[in-house]
Amino acid sequence: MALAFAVVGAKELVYECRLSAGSGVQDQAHVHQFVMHSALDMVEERMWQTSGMYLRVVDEFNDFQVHAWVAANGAKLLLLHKTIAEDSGRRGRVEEYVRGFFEEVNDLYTKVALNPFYELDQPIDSEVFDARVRSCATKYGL
Amino acid sequence: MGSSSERAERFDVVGWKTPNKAGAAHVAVKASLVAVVTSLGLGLFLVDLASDSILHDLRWRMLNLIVARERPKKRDTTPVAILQFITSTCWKTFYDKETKSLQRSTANENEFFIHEDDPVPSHFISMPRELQGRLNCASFNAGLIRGLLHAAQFPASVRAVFLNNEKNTATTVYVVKFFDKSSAN
Repeated sequence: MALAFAVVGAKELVYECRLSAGSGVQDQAHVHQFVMHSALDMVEERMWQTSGMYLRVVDEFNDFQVHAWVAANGAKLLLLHKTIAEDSGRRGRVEEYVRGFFEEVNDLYTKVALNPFYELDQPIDSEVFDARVRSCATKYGL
Repeated sequence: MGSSSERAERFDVVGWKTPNKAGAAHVAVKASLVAVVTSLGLGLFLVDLASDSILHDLRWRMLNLIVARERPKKRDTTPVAILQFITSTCWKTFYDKETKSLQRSTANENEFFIHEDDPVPSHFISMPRELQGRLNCASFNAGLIRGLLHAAQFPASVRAVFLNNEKNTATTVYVVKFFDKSSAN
């Protein structure tokens, strides 16, 4: 259901992964990246208006929606998926799942950051991190 | 990275939630820092700069960790709030005590003063006579504060100065000056 997930550090994209296995996703990859990056402006605006970390849906474009989470040090976690209708009963459940997913990935990110050899904004190459993120995504049904 | 030598266990760490006291580590770091800089024959003001910048680099990592342990899912969005978080929660994690007081300067809206009686890095340091007054070892802490503020997206400059009060003991004051956001963009 979710299409793509990205982690953006202070200034640069640090990690991204495709979550959906549907056909045609590969063609759309650059569109997904574009939508997520353009959502960053909204994230910057929204993060100063609330003291929580979970920012819910921050941006919509055509039929895509972007959820965001801001970590304590300003790193942003972005999740892109197809729009879910407002009035459908699934909306509330999906929000909870996305929030749980973000919390777990935030934990993973903190552990990556504790590595003294990892510098701010360095791309995350770790396969273990990648595997963990994907298993979180499956666990939360994304 | 990513080869078979990578340890997957580091992502399994669960005990990270309980803090440990790192007093001795601070002393060791400070001692080695001073030794290195003096052996290189550099000016003492560079010790100031070096300790400042070393901690500044490390602190963005610690900020994530401290927030995860103490206050999950809440961030600070105002300067006063982040300073209160640093002086109480972060200081407790590093040094097991809190700073004496936090004040706002009347001269300048973006300036804050943090008073501290006995900063831990300066515990075992007594300055040789010729360096008296020229080097403040609490700049270690100033770098710590600056790093935490920077990581939390509040760029600021932090200086440590001595302030002599009536009892003739010196209190250390950290002068925190936030950069104006609108001019930075």
